Amino acid sequence: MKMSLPAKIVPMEPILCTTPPPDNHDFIYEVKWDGVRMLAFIEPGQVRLINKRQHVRTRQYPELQGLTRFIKATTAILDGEVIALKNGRPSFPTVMQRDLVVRPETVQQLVRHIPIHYMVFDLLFLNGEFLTGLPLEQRKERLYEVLQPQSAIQLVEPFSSGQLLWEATRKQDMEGIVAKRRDSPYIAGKKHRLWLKMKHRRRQNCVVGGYTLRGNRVNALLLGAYRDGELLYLGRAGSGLTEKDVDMLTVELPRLEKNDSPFHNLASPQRGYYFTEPVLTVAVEFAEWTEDGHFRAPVIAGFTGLSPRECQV
Amino acid sequence: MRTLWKGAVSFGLVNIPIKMYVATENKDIKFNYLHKECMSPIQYRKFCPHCDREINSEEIVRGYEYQKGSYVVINEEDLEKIPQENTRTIDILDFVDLQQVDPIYFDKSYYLEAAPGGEKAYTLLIEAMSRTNKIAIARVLIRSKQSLAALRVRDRVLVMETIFYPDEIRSPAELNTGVAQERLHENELKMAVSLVENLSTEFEPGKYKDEYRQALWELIEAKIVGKEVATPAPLQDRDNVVDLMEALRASVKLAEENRSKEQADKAPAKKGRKKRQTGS
Repeated sequence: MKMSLPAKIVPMEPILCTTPPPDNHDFIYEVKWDGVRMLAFIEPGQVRLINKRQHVRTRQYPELQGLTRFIKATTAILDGEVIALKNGRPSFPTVMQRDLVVRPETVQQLVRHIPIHYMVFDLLFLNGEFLTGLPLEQRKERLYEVLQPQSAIQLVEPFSSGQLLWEATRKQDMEGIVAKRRDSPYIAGKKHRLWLKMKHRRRQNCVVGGYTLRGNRVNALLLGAYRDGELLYLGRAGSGLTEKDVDMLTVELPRLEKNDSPFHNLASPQRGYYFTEPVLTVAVEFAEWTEDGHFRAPVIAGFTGLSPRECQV
Repeated sequence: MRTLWKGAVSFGLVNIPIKMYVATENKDIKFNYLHKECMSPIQYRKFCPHCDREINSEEIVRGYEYQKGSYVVINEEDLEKIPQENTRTIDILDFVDLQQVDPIYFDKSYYLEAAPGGEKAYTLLIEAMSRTNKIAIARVLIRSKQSLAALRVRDRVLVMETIFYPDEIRSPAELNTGVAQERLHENELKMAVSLVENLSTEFEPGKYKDEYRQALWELIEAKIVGKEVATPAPLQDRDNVVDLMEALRASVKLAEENRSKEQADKAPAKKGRKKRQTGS
């Protein structure tokens, strides 16, 4: 029986693992593209975009209206990740600059300045029928048959070795990989062991723009990086600093102290925050970006010899 | 759309859980104010002229000026003392004909959507209102603020218009000219009526555009484009995601080759013997 498009589907999600399991022929392995998860509901003449939290994102990404022209189907639902590149790598903070803008004039500007790509990896519905009960492999076959990739729309490629892809994504400085069972159905709204994700620790060069104290000693550093000439606050971190580092910082940082926040998006004054001239640079490792563009679980990896302006986000 | 508020529409004994959304949006182009000299966005700071210093929000209280220069302070605890039913509801009081409510009363429009569990009752209410061609007058309590509203059905969705209380509507008697009392000639009137009839048409909202906004936007865009020519910004290459995928494939292939080489090195005896055998 032909059905009309459902209004909503909650995407299926992988379970987080620390390291990739041994290669197994029952799985395929994909790059985990670092962006925003997006379902595209395609009907004649219109594409609706809905994110993981069921918010409509149609107006934010007008270039994906082109999907109707590159898919050989009357109705379809695609699952994928909307990404934006920065220095040739997918950047979550960059795609977030697009994700909240709805004013049509600004969107038009951003379409030119921050191009996005829709990395499609699954097909849930095609010409009036749900494909969610089919094995992943068959859904992928149908996806390759109907979708014609072009610059803003790309197909996510399945690899047969997770170990090799894990290495390659680490070398290419990408977020990580996802392993999916070849025979997995699409279980909407569930985190399921049929899909597993593995993430590399991420790295960002940062400028220290302030600190917090515990007692009389430096406890955490306020971290930021430059975008379009402005220093953006990205989070604070204390772990990773050795006792010796803290000794040194407790002496040196107060000498750099200034009254106003150097961060564009962190107004001064803030209780317990001491601001400094943004001159000291550090490398920060973190688990992932939070949705409001801050570090999750940041650790100071070490001091760098970079100039502050070289720390870009 | 982002849910603005969750609550319930209550009508008799029926209670319909709903979610509320803002139905309209202002699309005016916003400007920032900059310091002419350095082009930095200016800041507004809270300043006390008496103490001659900037103050924090914790240092600010709410005051009502009951006579020039004299204030009574009203704090949160005071406000909590005002008896309010603290329910999150839209209470339907009456049903009336839409024509009876003059548009001057309408303030803001919101969409009400059935929340899970409320679908049946919601459908019932809009069906009943459509059949009887009535709108509902309701009392709304949102965040302890009470207001009056009209609920009506539009495209099978319940729309809530907050309405002004009668004492919030200014009387036209305050206008200087008063109500027109001029004497009119029959011919003038005929001409005016025929003019109105000639311009009469169906209301098609789609044909009215904000031409000023469009023109303003074109002006801004032209300036931005002009600036780009002066300092060419590195526009990103649209297709380098393809390069990235290519690099990744090459990386995987390289790792694969390295691995098979390693394996070949690890098991030299077996392979070596085979070679020798074929060689001899």
